Amino acid sequence: MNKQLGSIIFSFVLLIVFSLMAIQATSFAKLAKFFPLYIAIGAIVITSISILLQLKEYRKERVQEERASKEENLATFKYILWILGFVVVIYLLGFVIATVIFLIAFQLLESKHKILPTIGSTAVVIGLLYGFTNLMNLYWPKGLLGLNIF
Amino acid sequence: MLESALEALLIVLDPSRLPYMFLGISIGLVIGVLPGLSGTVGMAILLPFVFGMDPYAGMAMLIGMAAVLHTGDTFPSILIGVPGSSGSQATIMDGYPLAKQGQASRALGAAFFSSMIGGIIGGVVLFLSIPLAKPLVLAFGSPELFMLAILGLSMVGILAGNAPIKGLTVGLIGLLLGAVGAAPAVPEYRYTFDSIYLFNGLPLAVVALGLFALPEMIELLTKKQSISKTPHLKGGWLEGVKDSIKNKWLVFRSATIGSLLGFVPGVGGSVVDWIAYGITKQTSKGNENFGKGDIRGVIGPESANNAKEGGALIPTLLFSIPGSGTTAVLLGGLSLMGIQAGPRLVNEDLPITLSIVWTLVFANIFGAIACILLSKHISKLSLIQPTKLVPFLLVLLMVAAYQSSRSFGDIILFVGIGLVGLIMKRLDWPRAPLLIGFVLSTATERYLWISMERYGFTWLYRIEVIIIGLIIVALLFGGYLLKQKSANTNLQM
Repeated sequence: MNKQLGSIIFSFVLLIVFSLMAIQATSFAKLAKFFPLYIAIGAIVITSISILLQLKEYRKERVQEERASKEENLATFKYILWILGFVVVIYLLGFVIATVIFLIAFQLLESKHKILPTIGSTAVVIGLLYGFTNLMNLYWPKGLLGLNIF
Repeated sequence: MLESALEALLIVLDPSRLPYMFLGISIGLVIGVLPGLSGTVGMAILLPFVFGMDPYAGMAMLIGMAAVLHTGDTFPSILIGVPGSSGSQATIMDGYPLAKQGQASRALGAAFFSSMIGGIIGGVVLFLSIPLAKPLVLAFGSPELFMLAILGLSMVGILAGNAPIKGLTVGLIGLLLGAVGAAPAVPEYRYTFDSIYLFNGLPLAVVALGLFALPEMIELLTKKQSISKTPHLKGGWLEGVKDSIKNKWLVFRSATIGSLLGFVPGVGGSVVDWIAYGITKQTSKGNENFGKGDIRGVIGPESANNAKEGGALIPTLLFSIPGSGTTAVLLGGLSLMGIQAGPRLVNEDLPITLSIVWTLVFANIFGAIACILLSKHISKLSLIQPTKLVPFLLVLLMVAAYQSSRSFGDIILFVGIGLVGLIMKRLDWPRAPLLIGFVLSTATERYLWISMERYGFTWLYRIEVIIIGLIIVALLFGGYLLKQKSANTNLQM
């Protein structure tokens, strides 16, 4: 899928979102509805114009542009999964344990580091987290298990 | 007044008080470097320590922290494209592209030197405004504040580059996202879907980090390329300093804008940053490279965001009107030290006010020197391979995002906005207008509603409103003319 087509699809998605937001805005109290309603209506108009102009340009010429390769797209998807996995583990086990698991797994599997530097760097990060917890009174998500490491 | 200034200078330079200023500076730089942490966090950390302290030492510590926050926050903005604080978002536009070209040291040098000069000018503005402030601050009512919000929104068009309709659409997304949460006019929650997390709206730090930082992290990993596309770093911090001196009028102009906007309560640091960037772009000749690594795109906002601190202290100290979370906590600190903000600070407690001015000046100088000395070594981060750097940055970003409301919703929102930002980046949709719309949404609605309730439509005829309106038109039209002139000059060549 090239950028032009992707942009048109994205615009259609935005059009749907703006329409839903405008419909939702009509249910708000009188003083609360005006701003989001008129902004959403304006956005619907602008997006519709944008879609028409983009479609016109898409029909006129297929621009030869640099597309992301299939490998790049797969790599993007892979790293998004890494981040989503990190978030899921934070939710389940808490931030500190999730950080340890994420850093060790990523460094061994993706960065191809050796085991000792991996453990060392992870230990440094955990040490810094501990320092920030005490010095700057920062908080971390505990996870479903409610484990409070620091 | 001059004798009092000299007396205050000797008080600030007292060897028993200087260490407190340096402590404040150190904490301010660390807070600035860590994305997602704001001046409010820094103030909150220092507040318990000022209880019962000597007022001069206490103020040196608090002001030292606040003064250099927008100096230290430049590191992540330029090196990794992550806003260090709300006041350094616009710096990413040209600072990060410069880092990608291997010119991180140059960008940092220019940023720190401009920040220093901007901060000094902010201090001077604070000093000069002490006898003049009252009529100026009171001249700004809700209609004028609404017009300032419109001035900020007009930057959307300037920052959309060659895709004005996309930029406008994105700006409107930002305005709608800013409407999530409690309505300013009535007790109604909008677009919250009964989620308690959304009752307070979307946190700015999470939106900014998600929109800019997460897409960059994923792109770095995908392309398997370090931040700097060149194997060696080009230019040094001295070149950046020379760039700032070469653009001295830009530094002065932006610092003046920052101070003037800073002293209007309710105009936050992120707004000042974007306005300064937009005006810099509009008023600079040959501005085709803005957004691709034009050093002026770093100098403008960096001068403004440090100068803003001096301006923001005017209503805070003289009228107890805090313009931001940082200054609100500062007022608390003043109370803890037995100082009452207000006219007393201009009369009986004038030495304290003047010591604040001197602290602003010295803290900016020392903070800039410290950052310049560190910049050469920290710039080397841009040469590290992404698979070695990005996992640690991701941990840092998750930490930063979570501190906004300390709810798991922050992390979900961060990833969600990040994925939208990635799609926008891939499809060449501008992202900066979204942030501007988001930041200005509540202010625009609130001041419009107050103006209409109080004045009907007659507020449109106020002289201050007309002046700001003319400035907006002049900026947009003037920028268009400059662009046409530049395009014609290129055609002739």
